[in-house]
Amino acid sequence: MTTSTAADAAPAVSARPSLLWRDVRFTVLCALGIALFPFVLHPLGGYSTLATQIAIVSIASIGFNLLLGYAGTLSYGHAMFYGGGAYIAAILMLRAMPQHPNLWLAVGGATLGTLVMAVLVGAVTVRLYGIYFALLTLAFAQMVYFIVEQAKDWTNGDDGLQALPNALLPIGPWNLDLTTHLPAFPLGPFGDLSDLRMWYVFAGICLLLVLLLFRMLTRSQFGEVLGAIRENEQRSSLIGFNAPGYRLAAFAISGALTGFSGALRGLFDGTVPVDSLSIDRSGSFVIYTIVGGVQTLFGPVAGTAVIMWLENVLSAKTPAWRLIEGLIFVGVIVFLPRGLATVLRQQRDKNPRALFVRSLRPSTEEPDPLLKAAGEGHRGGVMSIIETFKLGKLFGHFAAVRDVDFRVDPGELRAVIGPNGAGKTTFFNLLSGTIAPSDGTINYKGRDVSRLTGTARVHQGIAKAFQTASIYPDQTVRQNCRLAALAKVQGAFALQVFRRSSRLQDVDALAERAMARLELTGVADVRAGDLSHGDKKRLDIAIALATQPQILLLDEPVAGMSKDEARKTEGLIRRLATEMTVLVIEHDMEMVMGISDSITVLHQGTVLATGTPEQIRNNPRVQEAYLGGHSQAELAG
Amino acid sequence: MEAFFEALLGGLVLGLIYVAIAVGLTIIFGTLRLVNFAHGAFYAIGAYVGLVIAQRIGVGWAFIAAPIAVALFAVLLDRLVLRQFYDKEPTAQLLVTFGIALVVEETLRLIFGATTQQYQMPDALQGSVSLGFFTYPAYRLLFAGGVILMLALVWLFIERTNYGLIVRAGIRDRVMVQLLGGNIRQASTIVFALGAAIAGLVGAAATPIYSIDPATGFAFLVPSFVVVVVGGLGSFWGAVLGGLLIGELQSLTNLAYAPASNVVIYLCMALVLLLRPQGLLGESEVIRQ
Amino acid sequence: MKQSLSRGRFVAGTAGVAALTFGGGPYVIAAPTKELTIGLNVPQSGPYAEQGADQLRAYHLAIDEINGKGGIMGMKIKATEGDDQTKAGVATENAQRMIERDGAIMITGGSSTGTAVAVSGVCQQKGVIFMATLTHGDETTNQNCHKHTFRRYNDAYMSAQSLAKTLVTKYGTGKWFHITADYAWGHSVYDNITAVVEPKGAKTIKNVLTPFPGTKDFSPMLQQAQAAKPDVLVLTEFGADMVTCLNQAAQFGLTKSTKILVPLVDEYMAKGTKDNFDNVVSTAPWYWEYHAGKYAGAKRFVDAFQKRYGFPPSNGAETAYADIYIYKLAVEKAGSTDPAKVISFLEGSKFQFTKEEEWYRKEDHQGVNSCLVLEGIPENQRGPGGFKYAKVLEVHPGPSVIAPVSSLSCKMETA
Repeated sequence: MTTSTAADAAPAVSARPSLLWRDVRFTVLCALGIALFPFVLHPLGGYSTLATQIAIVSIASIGFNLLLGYAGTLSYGHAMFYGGGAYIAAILMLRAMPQHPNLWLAVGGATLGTLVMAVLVGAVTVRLYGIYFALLTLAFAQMVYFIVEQAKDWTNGDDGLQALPNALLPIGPWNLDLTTHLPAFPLGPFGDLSDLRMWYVFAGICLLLVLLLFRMLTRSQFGEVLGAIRENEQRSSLIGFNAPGYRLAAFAISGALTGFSGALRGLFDGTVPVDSLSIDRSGSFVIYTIVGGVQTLFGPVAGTAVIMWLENVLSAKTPAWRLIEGLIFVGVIVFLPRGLATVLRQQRDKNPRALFVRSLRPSTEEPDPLLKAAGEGHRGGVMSIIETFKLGKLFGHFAAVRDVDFRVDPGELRAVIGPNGAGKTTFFNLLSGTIAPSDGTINYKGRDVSRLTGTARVHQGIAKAFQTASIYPDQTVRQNCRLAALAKVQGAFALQVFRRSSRLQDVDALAERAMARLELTGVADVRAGDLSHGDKKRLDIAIALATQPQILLLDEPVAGMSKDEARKTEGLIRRLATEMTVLVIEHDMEMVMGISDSITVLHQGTVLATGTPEQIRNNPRVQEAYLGGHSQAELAG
Repeated sequence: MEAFFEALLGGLVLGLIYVAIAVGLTIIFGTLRLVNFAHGAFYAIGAYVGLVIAQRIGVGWAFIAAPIAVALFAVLLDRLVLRQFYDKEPTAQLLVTFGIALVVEETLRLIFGATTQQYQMPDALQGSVSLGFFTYPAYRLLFAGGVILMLALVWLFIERTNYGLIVRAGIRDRVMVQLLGGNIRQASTIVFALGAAIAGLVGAAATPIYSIDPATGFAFLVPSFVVVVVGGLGSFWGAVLGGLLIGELQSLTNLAYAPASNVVIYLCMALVLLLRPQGLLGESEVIRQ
Repeated sequence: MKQSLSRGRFVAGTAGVAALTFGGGPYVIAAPTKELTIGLNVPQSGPYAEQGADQLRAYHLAIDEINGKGGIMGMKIKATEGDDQTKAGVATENAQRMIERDGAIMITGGSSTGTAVAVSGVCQQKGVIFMATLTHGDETTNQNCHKHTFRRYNDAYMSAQSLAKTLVTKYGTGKWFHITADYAWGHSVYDNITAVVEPKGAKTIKNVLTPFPGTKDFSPMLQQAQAAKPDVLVLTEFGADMVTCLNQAAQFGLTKSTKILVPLVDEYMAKGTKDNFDNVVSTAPWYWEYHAGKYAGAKRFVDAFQKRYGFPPSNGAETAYADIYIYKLAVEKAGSTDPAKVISFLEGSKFQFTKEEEWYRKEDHQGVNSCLVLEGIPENQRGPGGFKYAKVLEVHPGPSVIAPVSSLSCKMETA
């Protein structure tokens, strides 16, 4: 998905028919596959009920995969949606419309109900990550299971709901009974057309629609951002995407799809067993999806089909069928572990708090509208751009930062230096919003932003490049920048599930500009993970730049670079500083003295001194703290 | 009134089973960084080994054979499969151990059948003991005492021995321990086997009270995970506190309003995860590599 | 890309190997008219697994015997099995699969009233005969009766009546304490017993419900029972649950201090409880030692079962065996497997196999046959394997204890 900008304006016209052709081809092939499936299944020991059940459950697997494969989040409680949808549909049928059972209403009501449930559950769970998220979804699913089991008046407890009336599907003037068989048409070893009932046609159409919807969703702007969050959530938050919001949206859509599937299944079977809410049921979606292949469109469908078919075939032949299923599952995970690694990448964050980081209270302010970088934040403004008062941060009993009064004016290039452990990175993290202060306040352009989330601060104009370059390794350089630009253009959250981001031209322009400023245009189409260390660092800066910040925080931008690269980057940073405020943490004294307008020295968490390079160089306390008495020659550099 | 004390003691017995499983889970997580969804399998294997030995040879031997058999199985499992997962994401570990739990459960079902089985304690231990104004089955009291003793020994091991020192240091900073020359590999294997053996021993000992069928292991595992979350991943005392809390909560709720007895423990887990995700006794600022 | 290729191959390979190993390949879908498929839907796991296993033994014995003599109207019986796990949902799925995939034209089996009711509904929907074996709760032939369902086993009403008639003279005015499995069957039994004994003066102290399934620890309830010091303790539990409960009751000393009633028993439950079953009073529709001594058909069955399996059959096995033979008789007399004709025969005929002469009532398809009241004997008198577990206190003929038609809420379909 690496669309260039101006060069492709012409081919775009001829590209559109080919996109349309691909969509049509996809639809036709899927429809064909679904239509032929039951007949292919027949000689393999399948039968039409099984084929219909596979089609229905595949929808749930696809929904589950949206969360696991595309949002990178493992839920161990999806049975609450599957069973929940089934129970809601069944209860609606039995109580709300016993005389005129209407399939649309039952299924529609169930889908709506599970959507609401998913939003409510998601709202509390998406703050957690990794295994804690999985366990919390498990906890909720178990609660639902036991509540349903005990609410015998409504749900018939352990025996489940049974003998559901045949649902009719009103279409126009007709009332379609889905249990009617198709007309007879013998197909040799593949059975007969009349083996199938209208239920399969209906389920097949539903599956087709879900496949199309899913395909569109994963390629849409929403899907793009979701993938970015999965690939690197830390970076995504700090270019301005509301990561918890996206995960909640993914969870809600996933839950609703699963609930839709559960409702169909319950009405098709005519019974709803309490097992549809069990841990085993939640586990089955995990098995289907992982065996079939996460992060693929057809993987979940294939996995569902294979496992359900195997279960049916094997259960007649041997009591060991569940054992075989378990062995296959373990085998897939053990022998093909990289498949999971790419999916669950976000958990690799070493920060233990990432296991259960909770977002700060969200901002109540509107993000700034699209700003052009030129003209803002240059020298001469009277008001400071960032100011902190008695800023402090405690980790346990250790004060990483204490009592910091700091001020930088618009357009300054301020270096922040200090010995190791002085609290420089912590200070930057406080400014960028990655961590919350224990004491004191941070003012940005006169307003108190201490409680603002990092994501919100990006939209205010504070951008950061990391000490260890935080990029999207599997995307091209251009796409890395485009994502940052996209965050700026669309805002923190946009539920654009239908349209692609390529229609937003500003995004491409911003990305191109950011790449150009950091001289990365030459490697625009290279996979970011393949870049050299120095290029990755510059890419990190370009990403921050693409969000159109007014103040740029650079954490050791030239660390690990060769001398030449460092000097080149230094020059690029100096040019950037003509348009915006730049704060730099650095150890490279040559660079610090060379380009800074002013320097702040931090020592043991507090400000030791602030001044021009000359003043700092001659400050005896700085010399003592920093160098422990070494010669001034090193400072003079 | 008797019903209340009965529920209290019942909650203690149940809670101690949870504690035993949770302690194993938590020390394994603490040292190996391994989320082990297959821990219930250790309980189940211990129970079945205990059952077979108790029926063929004698109850006393069952208590010796079960933990040994389970420890051997655990070490084998570790070598063959789990070792590669130490550095993987916790969710990958959860998935593979879930698969292993499934395989073990089904294998047990094929070998022993699906019926619920039990063995009886020798007559000397049958019958009830008078505790003032009510009586209580003798074996349950013995069981509770035995588990407490076992936990005390485990605690001593962790706090007072060299291996235990490595374990505790490893929980705080694994890499550093390796750099300092501590044989964390060996200590880890011992810890894993120990955690498994505890579960196996309790499995064998609890069978006269709760019976065993292939699904029992997993049935005890899920609440034990609740315990670990509530107590705090990696905390010994957290597992103890959490286990007793959850056991009592379940038992007393069963007395007060039975239908809610299963819901409350998951409600508890959800609340802890939302309000204090590191658990009651977990450390929030532990710097881990 | 590489991963998905190798993953695909791995999964496909395993699936293929599994399918081939276990005889996949083209199924014979259309059953030739030489075969007649019967679905055996029994618990093979869960608390009633032993009962299910014994039923299977009896089914296979009956089927092999019949096939050895040429089958039913020249058609060999083919059996397809399923484990219902004592769960209604699973039982229903099994039944559907047996009917659709395997072409079963009769379903039999059962483990609990919950599963029986569920399967009954499915069979009615699909127009397939259901011969329910192990279901004791009234609903199966009362509130949830169906045209296609026949239940030969005694129901809870009959057991309660029988128990009451035999015991009430001795314990009628005493204090009764109940521990009841909390599901349809348990409630049915409790309601029936109290309805009979309370008017005679029995005082029901309390009814403690045990969550079903899944109660492993009955001590909270037994504690309460012990504290209440009743004259009669009724343990309405079945299968492995009853075994656990009674054994735990012994730990509380209740087996020595109180008269214990277990409303329904079979050989395996008695075996599991060993000496704790001594003096426990119970009911059963059949007891091998008694019936083999009185009826030639029963003796033939017991001998054949003993010869094949090495031990005598339980009462669950007997009803399974009988159901197959009754179905055979019905098909042969009706001249076809057409359910309507089979139903019509079963509604109006009497037959005798392993008990006295018996029949099904037309109004509710409940089997009318005798109910025995038994009392456990000491373990050391029970012979090898412990199958000779009781002495018969009294035999109540079916018509004397069955619920009157006027009391039924059964509304049977016409087809």
